[in-house]
Amino acid sequence: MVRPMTDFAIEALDLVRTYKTHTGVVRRHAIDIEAVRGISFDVRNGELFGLLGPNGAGKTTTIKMLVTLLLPTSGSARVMGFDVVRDTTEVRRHIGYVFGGERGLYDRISGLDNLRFFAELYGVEPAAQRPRIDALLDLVGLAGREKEKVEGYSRGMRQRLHIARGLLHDPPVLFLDEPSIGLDPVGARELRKTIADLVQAGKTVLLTTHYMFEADALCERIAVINGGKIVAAGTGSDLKAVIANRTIVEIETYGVTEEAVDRLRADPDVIAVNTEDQDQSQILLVQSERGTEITQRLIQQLGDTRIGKISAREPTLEDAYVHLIASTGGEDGNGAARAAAVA
Amino acid sequence: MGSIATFRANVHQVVRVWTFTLGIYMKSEFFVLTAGVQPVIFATIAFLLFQVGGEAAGPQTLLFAALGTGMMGVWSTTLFGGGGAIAWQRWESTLELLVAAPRRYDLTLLGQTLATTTFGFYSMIATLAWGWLLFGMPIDANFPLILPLALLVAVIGLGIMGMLLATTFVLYRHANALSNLLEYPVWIATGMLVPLALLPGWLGPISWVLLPTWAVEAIRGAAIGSEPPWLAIGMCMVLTLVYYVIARRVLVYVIDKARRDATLNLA
Amino acid sequence: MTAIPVSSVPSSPGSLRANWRIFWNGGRLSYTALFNWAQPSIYIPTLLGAPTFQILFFAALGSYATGMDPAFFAIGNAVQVCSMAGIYGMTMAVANERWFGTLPVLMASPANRAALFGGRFIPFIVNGFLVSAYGFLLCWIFLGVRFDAATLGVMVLAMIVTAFSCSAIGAVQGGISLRLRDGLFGANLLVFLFLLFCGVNIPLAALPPWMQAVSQVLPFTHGLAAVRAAIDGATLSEVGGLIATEFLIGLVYAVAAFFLFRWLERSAYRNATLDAR
Repeated sequence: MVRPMTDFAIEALDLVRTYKTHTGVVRRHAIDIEAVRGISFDVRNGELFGLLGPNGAGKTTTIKMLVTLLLPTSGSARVMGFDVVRDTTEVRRHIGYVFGGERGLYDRISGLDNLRFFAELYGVEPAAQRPRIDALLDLVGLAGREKEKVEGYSRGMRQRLHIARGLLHDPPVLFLDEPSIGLDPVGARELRKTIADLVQAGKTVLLTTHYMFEADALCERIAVINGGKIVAAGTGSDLKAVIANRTIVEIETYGVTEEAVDRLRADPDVIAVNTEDQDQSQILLVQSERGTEITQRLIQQLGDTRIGKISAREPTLEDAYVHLIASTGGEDGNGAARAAAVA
Repeated sequence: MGSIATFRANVHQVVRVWTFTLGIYMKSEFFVLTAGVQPVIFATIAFLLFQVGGEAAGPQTLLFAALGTGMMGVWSTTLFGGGGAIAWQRWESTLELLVAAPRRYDLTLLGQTLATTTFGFYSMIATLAWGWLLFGMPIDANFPLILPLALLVAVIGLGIMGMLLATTFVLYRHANALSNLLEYPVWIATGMLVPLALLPGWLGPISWVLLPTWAVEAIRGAAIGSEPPWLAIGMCMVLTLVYYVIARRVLVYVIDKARRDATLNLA
Repeated sequence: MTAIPVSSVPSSPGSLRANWRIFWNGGRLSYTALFNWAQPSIYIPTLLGAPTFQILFFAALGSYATGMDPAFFAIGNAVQVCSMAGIYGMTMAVANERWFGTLPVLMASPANRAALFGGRFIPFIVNGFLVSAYGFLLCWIFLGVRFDAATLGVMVLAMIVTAFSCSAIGAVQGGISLRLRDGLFGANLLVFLFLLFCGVNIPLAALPPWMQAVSQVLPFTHGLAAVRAAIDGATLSEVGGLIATEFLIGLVYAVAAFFLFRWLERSAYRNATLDAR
């Protein structure tokens, strides 16, 4: 089949995915859960693109539509120019699909046998299989451990085997669904290096994650997804720019009440207040363009609340992310919660 | 705590675990199959075979078959539920919690295996009901007052046997495989459906030390026997005691070994 | 870490050769990966030990209850025990994919589904045949059943075909179990029903008419009849019809299973039912 001409490795246009489910046991009625509610984005050849969002935002559902595991309810998508609904076999030949976690490998056989099995499934030429497998084992650092049964592998080793598996047939596009989940910091760092190397070598990678720093460190472009929709997209700098001219005033409080926080929110110069619960205290993160000018006013509005440390700082990508999620989840808090059940 | 109070507390613990575990079994598809459907299918096979045999398919024969296949079901449940008990707990990571709890683990295990056996007796109800419904088998007993005693002794005896199985099976890495293996042989060796008299002589001693042999004798004797099955009931009680002593010993060994080898939790 | 090897790797998923390899190599690897009982410490008690006692049990029960020759029951059960591999094995080959979470990986691959599916049969047909062969060895040792070379040839053919049809219905069962919570429930039920129907323990003629009718569309019935006739001296030409019917029944179940899996995959594709455990 001749590949259609396109600059884009991945194109998604208004993808929607709805699930039907039932509530109640005696009088069941159906409800529709909208896990993905109109997602569009493009990924260029050779780009490392990140889909960042909290649990239940719709990341996994989106990826599943792109790797032909789920039929979109509406909308369309193309991978390497092939439509994900009409040309499923072609799409599958050109993608590697890797997901995080413990499952997805056959525990009872060795890493090598797992790779051999999948090499057959991906149609790798018999003569090319052994050298390819050896090279990949070297790449992911599992050389020497491949004859052991997977049931004895650590989380990190499993993840690396997953990646080797996804690369067996040298696909141009890789989909990584939360690959660093459950990995220790060292393992996660090694994984990120491998991903970066893959992109250097010309592969296109779409990565989903809920670790904001991971997206910031790795991805050229990021789309923030929440409640089934993309709420912001761009480079890390673009996203930070949204709140670049703001200052974050951090106020440590003890036993602050909702009313007190609402009073702060009501202040005309306050853009947003996010709270972080610590063991004994609550940190209020007050976003404002006026910065330390308004600190006195804030303290007054907190009234009787016991206050600890106060400091001011520049916004980080994390603040941008938290702000995006909070402001887009709040209006549709229910949607995000229901989507969590299925995504 | 006085010894009477301790004894009462122990009994209380066993009973609580017994009823709790029984509730869990009633919700398990696997055990509903093992205790309900499997015995009924075997009962049908037995009924039809006896019918082929012709004249012998009278009400006594049907009752014999129903009781026999019912007991076969009791054994299956005891084997899979009791024998697998510790292994299953280890696999689902509850063993550590139970061993570390302040109340004695052996009493907890006893409560669990008693529940297994009690649940197993649904097999008896199932096969009797089946025979009555589909084959016109009359349900009555020759010694109706002894029957409940025989049943009680059987339940407790097999529960203790389940405990013994639980402690010994866990020494073998694949407890399930042992359960698969020991279903048929015990059915044969305890004379549940084929009278012991017809089996090779050397099987005799083996069958005498197996509690189910006497349990079947006791229940069958009370239902269709010509004289009260006192010997069988007595042997049940004796073996129950013997099994209990062995089970306690093995359990101590097994738990200590697990704590030494760090295998209390083996996902 | 070395640089990433990216020179394009020759691959041709969908070619005849690739499908052939998926069928054989994939089937072999799946067997080891998915069959719970593959290691000797489980294989011996479960696939050799349990069938031994099953044969002895029914030989004793059958002859006691009916007065017939115990060999009748031993032969019936020697054939039936191939269901240990065909029913339980095929169910595991399917249900364990869900257990290991490998279904999404399989479904996202370009592998030909028929090759992937069909390859799983072969190891279990072989396994089932071997278990039954062992059963006949027991018949020969303990019950004085005798077969000569010609009989053996017919029996081998009948057994292979029966192991196939048994695996085929096992595949249907496996597919159904993908949607149920407890995978082995249906498998156990099926194995018990084979003891009741099919002329394994109760001669067909002694079954109520409706049970005879059901037996006619189940595996075992015709293959077993062929084996019994062969042991009584029938030749291949005399039992060929029975063996062919057994094969046809197996084929129907195999095709039904294939379409069932196709439907399950489509349904998962539309309604995301794949991952639910």
